[in-house]
Amino acid sequence: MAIPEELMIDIFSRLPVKSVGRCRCLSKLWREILSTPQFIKSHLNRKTNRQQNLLLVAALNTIHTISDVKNGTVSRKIQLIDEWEEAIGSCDGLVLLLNEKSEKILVNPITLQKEKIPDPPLALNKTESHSMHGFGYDGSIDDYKIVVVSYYDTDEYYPDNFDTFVDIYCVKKGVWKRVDNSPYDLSSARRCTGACVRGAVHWLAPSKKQGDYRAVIAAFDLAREVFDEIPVPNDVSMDSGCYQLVVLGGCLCMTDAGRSLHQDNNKTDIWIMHEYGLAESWTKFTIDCGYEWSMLKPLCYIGDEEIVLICEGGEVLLVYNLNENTLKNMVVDGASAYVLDGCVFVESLLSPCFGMS
Amino acid sequence: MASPQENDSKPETTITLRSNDGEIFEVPETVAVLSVTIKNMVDDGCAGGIIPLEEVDAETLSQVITYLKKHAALLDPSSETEKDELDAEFFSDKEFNSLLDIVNAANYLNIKELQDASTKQIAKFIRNKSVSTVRKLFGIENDYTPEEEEALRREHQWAHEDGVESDED
Repeated sequence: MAIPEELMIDIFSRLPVKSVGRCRCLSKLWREILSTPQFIKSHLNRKTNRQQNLLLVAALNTIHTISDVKNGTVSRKIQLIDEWEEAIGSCDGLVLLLNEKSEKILVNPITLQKEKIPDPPLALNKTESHSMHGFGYDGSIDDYKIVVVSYYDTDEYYPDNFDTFVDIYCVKKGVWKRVDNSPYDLSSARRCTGACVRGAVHWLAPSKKQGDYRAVIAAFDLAREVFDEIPVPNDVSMDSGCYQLVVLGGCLCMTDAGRSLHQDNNKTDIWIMHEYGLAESWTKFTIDCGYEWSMLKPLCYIGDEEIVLICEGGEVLLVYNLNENTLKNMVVDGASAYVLDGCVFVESLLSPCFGMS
Repeated sequence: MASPQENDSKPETTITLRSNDGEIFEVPETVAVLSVTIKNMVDDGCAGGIIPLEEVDAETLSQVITYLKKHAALLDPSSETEKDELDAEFFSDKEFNSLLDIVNAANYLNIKELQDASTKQIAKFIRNKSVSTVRKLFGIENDYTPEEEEALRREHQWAHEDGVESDED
């Protein structure tokens, strides 16, 4: 070899995932070296490889990915055949998806490896209950965790059972466990995916305190497996409106959506918690350009000025310009993009198939 | 060796380096010690004589010294933009085999900035190249049978898509 192995490994760790995939075909030695967990980890940690991509569950239940996120971009339809419904979240290049049968599948959208996640052994009957999911990484044991929060449908079934059950799946170990019931009544929060940031999965919940009608953010810490509380913005009244928590640009983001469905001048308030845990760091901006849709869910930034959002009412992808206060359809592959759900992800070589040696 | 004078107009110390093909280079000490390897030799007391660099030839050493002088002269050493511009200019006229010589030299001389910049440049060069081109560039022998290679390509179908340059034959 022209240069020492360690220098070659350094060079390969700076390549995009597809280039590394090709370099695994160079020789038997390189196939081995470029597949080790150490190499995959050092490749993942390169700052240059952490560029944000977008995964979209398109209106026809197919999956598309976008590597150059901007208006007027192109997408790639990936060969993962199923009736996809929801993108729960991503971590280190692995994306957790939900199909129409409510089955959870962990995929790497670049290498197309996938692994079906078994249901929790104590799972509630699907027709009689609701579930919300979250996906993140537990650094204390170097494992990825899926959190399922479920509760009975008290309208139709079990009107007296208000418990919120919490099940956790350790992906590498391949094991489910049930933890103590949630002290928060998460059933009254609008059913939505947990927002994972800072090693915790977040949902909105009513305060536990008697007579306190504000809401709090229940943060399930993945390592300690307990709920902490994060304050909501001071100027938010939770009894009106329909709120949703997402992650935008690495920060907790709360949207007030679906409030004025019948008014002429629909607007959406969006709060971003710039300093995690600090109530005063919530800053708000309002999308106030008069549009017909509701239920806007922010996905990611484009540069500093624009935000990509999913409109859950019209199932359309939008781009909002913060400076101009304009909202437009996002054009992908030459036309307006119609999507059911989406999430951001980074490219990585990580395989979801941890059970295989 | 005489100790440096403690006054404002101290003359700058020069280090003498010799490439493995016998050429001599006089380099200011402040520039030379950007190489940790050379710095260690100076600290061990070798600065008086000539420092032989067994692993670096004259052409590569000359390029490395140019790089070090430019880095030492940076107005704002913490500015990433300035460094990126310097690197872009430095590598703009370098052929692939020179890149390999430079990265080897940077590794041997323990110059982290140059090593990082060169590995980054080499990665940029090869990222869209075909498998057989990369083998040639690095002198990697293909130890797969045609059947094994075909099976491997199918397994990595996701990697062999558009954007790959065709073989340069």
